[in-house]
Amino acid sequence: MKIGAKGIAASAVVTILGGVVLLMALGSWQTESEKIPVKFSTGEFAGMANPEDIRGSYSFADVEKNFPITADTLAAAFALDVTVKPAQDYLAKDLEALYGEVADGAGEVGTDSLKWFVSLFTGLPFTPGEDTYVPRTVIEVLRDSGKVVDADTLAQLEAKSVEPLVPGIVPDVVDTHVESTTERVIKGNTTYADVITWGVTQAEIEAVLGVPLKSKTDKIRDHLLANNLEFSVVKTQLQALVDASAP
Amino acid sequence: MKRKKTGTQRIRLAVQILFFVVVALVSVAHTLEEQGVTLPFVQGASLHAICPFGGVVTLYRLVTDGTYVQKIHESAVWLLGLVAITTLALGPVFCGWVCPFGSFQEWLGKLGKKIFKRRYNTFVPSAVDRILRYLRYVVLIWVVVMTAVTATLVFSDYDPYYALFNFYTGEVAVTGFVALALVMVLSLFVERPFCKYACPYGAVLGLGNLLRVFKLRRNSITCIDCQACDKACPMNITVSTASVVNDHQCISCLKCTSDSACPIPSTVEFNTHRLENDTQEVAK
Ligand code: SF4
Ligand code: SF4
Repeated sequence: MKIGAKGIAASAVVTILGGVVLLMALGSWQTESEKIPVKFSTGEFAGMANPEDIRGSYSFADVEKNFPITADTLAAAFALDVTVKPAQDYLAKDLEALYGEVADGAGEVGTDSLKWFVSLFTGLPFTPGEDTYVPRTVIEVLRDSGKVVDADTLAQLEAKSVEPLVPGIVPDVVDTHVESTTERVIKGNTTYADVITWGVTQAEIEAVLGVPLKSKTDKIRDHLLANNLEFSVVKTQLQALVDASAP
Repeated sequence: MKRKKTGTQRIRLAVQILFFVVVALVSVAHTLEEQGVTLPFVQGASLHAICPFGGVVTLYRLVTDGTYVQKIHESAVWLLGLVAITTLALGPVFCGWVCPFGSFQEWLGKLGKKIFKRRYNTFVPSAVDRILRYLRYVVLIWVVVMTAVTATLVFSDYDPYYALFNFYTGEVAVTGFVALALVMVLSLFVERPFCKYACPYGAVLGLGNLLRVFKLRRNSITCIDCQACDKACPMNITVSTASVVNDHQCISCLKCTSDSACPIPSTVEFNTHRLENDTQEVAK
């Protein structure tokens, strides 16, 4: 049997484009990763989703799907304005963009804050970092829903709480903190150039980021946000490099 | 008797343009979606999601721990499967008909042909060329091993194809642009330089030439030994002495066939059985 141009053209178009259309129709055409966090594999919580694995790219709808908590509760806890967009459409990383660095640079409201809240609300284990802060509304939601009643946890939250956003106003993240280069601590307004002057090489930074560094004068946090990387994770790794190259 | 035989290559060009436009649209739609703009009818997906080679590099991860390499999704593995079907049937049709980067080099090559006329695509001495043709397997091994080790897309920083479709996004590494510029310049001298010497996916698909169901065959009885087929082949394959072309570099473009270059009807074609059989039967 012979095959010519028409036959080959038809096979290529039908198999490849047709195959993709068919897969789309069957719902198997996934061009995005499925947003399913890893599950606890052992212990009392085995088989349940682990809040630790919530990523910046998760929408509140994804969180709702994987944990017994509604998107509306999440939006309320973080005082997000649902007239700007529906609660389901907020992404975990939006918190970093909206709140970002708080308490004079001592901490941050971001994806980790969301993990913390989800863990307290659902009773799943998660240990927040020292620099994880939450808006005060988180405490109100937890207390009012009866999810957290013990005084210790409430006091711990209290100590790490900041003023919530005023609904209706989406604030620009303004960094008022002025970097002093003698401090050698990575914060929201630290640039890659700062880190390089602290003795870390560009190659080391790129190894941590996994993406090339185009502009050394970029603020680290803004650059990561634009590249879908999590500030809190990268910051820890970069800080370790800074500390290691201490004079 | 000179027959005008442009139909075959016109059809191929149409398919190439179709896929080029689809990939460009998907790529642009993806960038726009990230900025909150949605195009009608086009579902944006990152170029990684629609690259079957992503399927190759993620296979190791998928098999060992059931996850994908960063930025690679299920779609890439499906595409890998779909392309594999066409390759087993017809050889690297993907290279000759679908791959937008192959088409891009081919179109640049038309300019090279205008400049150098018949000298085009003959500059690399054949002894050097023969060795260089295996370079793409070295690239393949490097990419697969490094991707498995680091679990990130190591090749995208050097991938001229990625650079071509994402040049405006600011996501392309300098090395990607250098690779793209190099391929563009070389394309003026050599037809499809990236396909021949560097493409790791072409290396995989090239193996399909040993297995394809429809084989490229030459009828040694009717052949008049004019070597028109050899001159037409963009990949510099000697068709005029083979009865079956198994060369790992063939891209199933049909340029050598009796529907294009070969002046004798039914002498070079993709067929499931030996062409000499037909001639012998007619002779009987
Ligand atoms: S051998 Fe024929 S089909 Fe294969 S690449 Fe050369 S011209 Fe195209
Ligand atoms: S072009 Fe056709 S006739 Fe000429 S050498 Fe090739 S197969 Fe033989």
